[in-house]
Amino acid sequence: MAGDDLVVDHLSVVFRSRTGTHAAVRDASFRVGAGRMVGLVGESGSGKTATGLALLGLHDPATTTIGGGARFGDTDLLHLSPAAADRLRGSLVGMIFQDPMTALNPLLTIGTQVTETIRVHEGLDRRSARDKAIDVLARVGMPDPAGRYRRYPHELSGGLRQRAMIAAAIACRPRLLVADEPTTALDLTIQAQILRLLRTLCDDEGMSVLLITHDLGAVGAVCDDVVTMYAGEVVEIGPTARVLDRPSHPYTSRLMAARPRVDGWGEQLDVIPGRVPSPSASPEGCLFRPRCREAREECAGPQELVALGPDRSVRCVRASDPRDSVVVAGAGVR
Amino acid sequence: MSTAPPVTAAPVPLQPQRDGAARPPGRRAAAARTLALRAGAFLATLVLATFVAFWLIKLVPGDPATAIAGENATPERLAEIRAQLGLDKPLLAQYGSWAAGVVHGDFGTSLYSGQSVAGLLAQRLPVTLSLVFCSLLLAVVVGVAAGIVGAVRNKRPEGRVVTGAATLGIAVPNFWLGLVLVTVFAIWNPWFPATGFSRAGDGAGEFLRFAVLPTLALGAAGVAEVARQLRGALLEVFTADYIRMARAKGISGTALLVRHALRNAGVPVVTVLGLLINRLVGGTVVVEVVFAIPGMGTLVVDAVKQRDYPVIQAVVLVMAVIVLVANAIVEILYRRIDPRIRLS
Amino acid sequence: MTLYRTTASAVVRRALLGLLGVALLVTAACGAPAQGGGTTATTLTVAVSNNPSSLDPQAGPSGTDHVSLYPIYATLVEFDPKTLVATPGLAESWSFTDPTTLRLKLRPGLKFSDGSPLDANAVKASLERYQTQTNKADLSNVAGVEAPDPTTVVIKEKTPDTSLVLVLADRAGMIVGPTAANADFAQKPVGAGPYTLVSYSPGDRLVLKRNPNYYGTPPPMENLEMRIITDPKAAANALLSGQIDFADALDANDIPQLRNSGKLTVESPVGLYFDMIYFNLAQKPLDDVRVRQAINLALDRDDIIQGTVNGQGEPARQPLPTSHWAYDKANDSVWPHDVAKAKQLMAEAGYAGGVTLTTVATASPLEIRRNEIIRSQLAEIGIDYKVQSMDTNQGVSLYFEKQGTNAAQYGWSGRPDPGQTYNRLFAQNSYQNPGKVAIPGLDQVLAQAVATEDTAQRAAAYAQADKLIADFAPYAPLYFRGDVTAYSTAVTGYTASLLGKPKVAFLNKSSGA
Repeated sequence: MAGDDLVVDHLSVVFRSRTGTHAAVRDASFRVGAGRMVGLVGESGSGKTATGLALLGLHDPATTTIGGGARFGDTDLLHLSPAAADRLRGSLVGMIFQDPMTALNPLLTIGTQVTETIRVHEGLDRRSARDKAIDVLARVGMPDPAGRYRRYPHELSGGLRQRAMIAAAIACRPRLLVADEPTTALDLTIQAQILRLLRTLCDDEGMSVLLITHDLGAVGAVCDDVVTMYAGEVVEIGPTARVLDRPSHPYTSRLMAARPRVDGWGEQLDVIPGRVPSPSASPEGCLFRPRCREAREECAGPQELVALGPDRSVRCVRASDPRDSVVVAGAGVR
Repeated sequence: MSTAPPVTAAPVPLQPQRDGAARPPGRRAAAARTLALRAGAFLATLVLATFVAFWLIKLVPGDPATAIAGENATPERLAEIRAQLGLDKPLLAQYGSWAAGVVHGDFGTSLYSGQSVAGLLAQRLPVTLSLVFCSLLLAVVVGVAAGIVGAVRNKRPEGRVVTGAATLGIAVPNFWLGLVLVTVFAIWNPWFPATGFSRAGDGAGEFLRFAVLPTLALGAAGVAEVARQLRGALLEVFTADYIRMARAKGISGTALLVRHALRNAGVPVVTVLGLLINRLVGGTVVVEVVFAIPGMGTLVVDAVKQRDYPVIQAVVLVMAVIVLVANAIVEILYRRIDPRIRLS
Repeated sequence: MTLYRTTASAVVRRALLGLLGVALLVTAACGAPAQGGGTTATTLTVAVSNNPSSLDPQAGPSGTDHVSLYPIYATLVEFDPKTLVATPGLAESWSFTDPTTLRLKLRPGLKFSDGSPLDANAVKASLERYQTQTNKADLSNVAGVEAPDPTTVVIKEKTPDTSLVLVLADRAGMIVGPTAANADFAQKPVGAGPYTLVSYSPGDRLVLKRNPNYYGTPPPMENLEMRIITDPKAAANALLSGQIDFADALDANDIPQLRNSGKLTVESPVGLYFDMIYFNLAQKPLDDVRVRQAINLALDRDDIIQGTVNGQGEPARQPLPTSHWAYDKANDSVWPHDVAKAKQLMAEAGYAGGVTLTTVATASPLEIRRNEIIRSQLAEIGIDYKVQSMDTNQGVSLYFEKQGTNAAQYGWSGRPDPGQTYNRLFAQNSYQNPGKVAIPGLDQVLAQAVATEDTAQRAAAYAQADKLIADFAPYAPLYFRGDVTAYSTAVTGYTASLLGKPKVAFLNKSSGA
């Protein structure tokens, strides 16, 4: 299957409300290569989810302004008619969410929720849709798929619910799957299974995956590339191994330090001091500066995303300064 | 006292049962036991409702004997009538003999007119039931349509109209609305009859013509209540994750609204319907008087005036049964809608 | 996040269409203009303000049944509705052959509506059955009934009482047919009235048609429909919308609206019914005639009529209204509104410092309004008038039987013969006299008044009784209440009855309406 790339180009997402506007995403550019799995990382409020929802056109146009571009192959994802957007969602682009307990409709069987994707996009009759849905459930590793087909979400465990949601999202083999914190609500062993499942789908079916997470460990485990976002801006992009090995942005390093280590339960987590600035109160220059240990005078000036190589870029003044080689303890998570 | 005491049976608390995959082997036996318990509770509620009604009416120390003895009553005649009716016996004994009669299908005879109470019920019940049914139908059909418009067109003119009308509709008392409707649509514009009723069996056209105004008077608050609840529930459901998930799958339009949003918003609306039936049954008392409709409402109003115990008791019993059955239906509906609710 | 307008627009369109559909259905339902079921040229439709307790005149206890009974049953004696003077009915003539024997001559060839003969034996059977039924007290003075020939009925009394004649114009004189013995007689009544029952749905309506066997002039209308409408407002609405042609017992507050419609005749004829304060003559302070007189002088009757029934009434100073044959004009000057005199009497009685009077009344808006007016009028002479408002049955039993209050504020519905009224209200052993106090000389005068048939003699006796009563002041009559009645301008032939129970059988409705 010849793959298409997702190209996000100067994307911005601005929420309007009575009290004013709120730029959740500003000027975000990155690429998800065909068949690749890219981790989109950052704390809550960094704009990851807003980016993911924008790719599927799930923001409410009445309250949201979307700027810039996002293309998947030849398809302009941001400028579609409502009907065309409905056709693409679930067939070209799919999305799964954090909590399968709330993201699955509690009143419908697993089967119905998988089948409806198939029926709306492929127009199959009830019987064939059912057979296909059971195949899909099997593909996502659902044990006893025919039996689980008739079960309701509350009758399944958390892990199986997440598999069911993935099945509903990928039933029509979308070329891109946006996975928004798909493992956060699960316990550790299940998390690993779900991540492996996503990786398998990526490898076996050539599906591109944008994995939205705050967990760099997860990214390290399965992602080819990583995109770090902070306060609505992309601050670092690069291949996972190299970024985790040698983060170029102090924020990426601090995220890595803050992640819980498998061998470190009970240790005090190295929490990043301070909070993500509220967009309306964003300081001039580097947004991370107030929380950055290595902040210096130049950080007060405007920051650009600078290419460090063909597949690596960073938004930090020190990145282009050879004197600074950021060394982070515990880097290299693989 | 102009209305029967409120008889409400709140649905037994329903517990969502986790992990229904593991079903106990004695499930059928357990279900049978639950059913028996329910039936017991049903009967107990009926006994309680009728006894409380009995006791309340007796608390007001009026006396049917004075009504029966008529214009030329003498104390001797009153005592004679009381003894004849067993009114000189203790309360429990009076209730006991009434209940024993009912168990054998004997509702007694009206103290006032001497007619069989069962006969009176047979004449009046269909009238009231058809009125309640029409009002309920109106509340569901118009209420659901208006609720959808109110939610989907929230903050747009249509939505605002629905919200405003619903707020108004809940606040307007049914007798007042009834009088306004009669004035406008029967007196100023002679489109509908001002009073009376035509049985459904005597022709649908006549039935409709007579039923329209009382149905509107009785059902308007229900329409408003259903619309308001559904709008609120839908607005909440619209923000739910599963709606976003469904949209992410490419589900839109009718399928999204009906299969995902309406079904989930249906649970609180069904609750409202249960309460609504109780209110409609009670409301017939007022509306039937305003429209001079020969139903259970006017029957019980007259019976209370005349201290006609057997009639009052029978009406209370029938109304309690209607309310209990309605609530049982509501519970079945709950179960049909929400698989998380199981017999507990 | 809200659903986009676009995504759900199809459903919204459908919902809006649904709303429109309901509106259309409603409009379609009114396609045929509302012609009340009975408003055709041959049918007169009237409202009956009470659900009849029974269509068997001997069984039902309620004084409001008559409206429904009159069209079905002919009475032995009729009466002039304006004066209540007895006139021929089924009996074309009658006389007391001795003070305790009433001999009635029936019209020849009378028939019940079912065709069976209505002869002296049928009358005897009807009267004898009456003596076993609910209302037997009406004939408690009857010792026996005989039928010497097919058109002669002889009634023997225990004691002389000429009021029996008008008793036979009431329930007791409604002769029931031979099927009265059947258990379903109240559902399928047979009488000899101008109409006969076609169908009866209790609480809803009586449908009647002309009785071909009626002895007198046939009623002008072929069909009579009597709709039971207990709520006065509903009755007014039914009149205004043209569903019915006649209603009484309407609310005085609706008079302007009824008048302004321009298609109704509205009147408030005064009947025998009057409101009064009953006194327990054995209890303090009402055991003192000065207090009773003071109360009657302190009451401003015109003020009460204005304040409670919108002026639709006539002040009461004796138990009969002005139009009655036994009305005595001399009483007009009794009990003028005179607070000074009343205060003086209170002081003489030793109550200068004030006194409490307990009473019961029915809890209705009208009664509560009236209580307030009376309370303030009596307060002027130092009487603290304490009213307990309660259910009528309860209050009647509290005052008349348990003697739990000094007074009671109720009405008196009147009787065809004044003898019944005077006896019930003032005789020493009457139910309505709970103190069982005798008014000096009254019982003898009342006995004289019923010992003769001569109206002038009787009227003179009642005038004498009125004098005794005015001196003794055993009650405080307030006013005769007008019965607010309205009927279509197409209806003619209505004469209000002093009894307050409308007779509608001979109303005519011109077909132009």
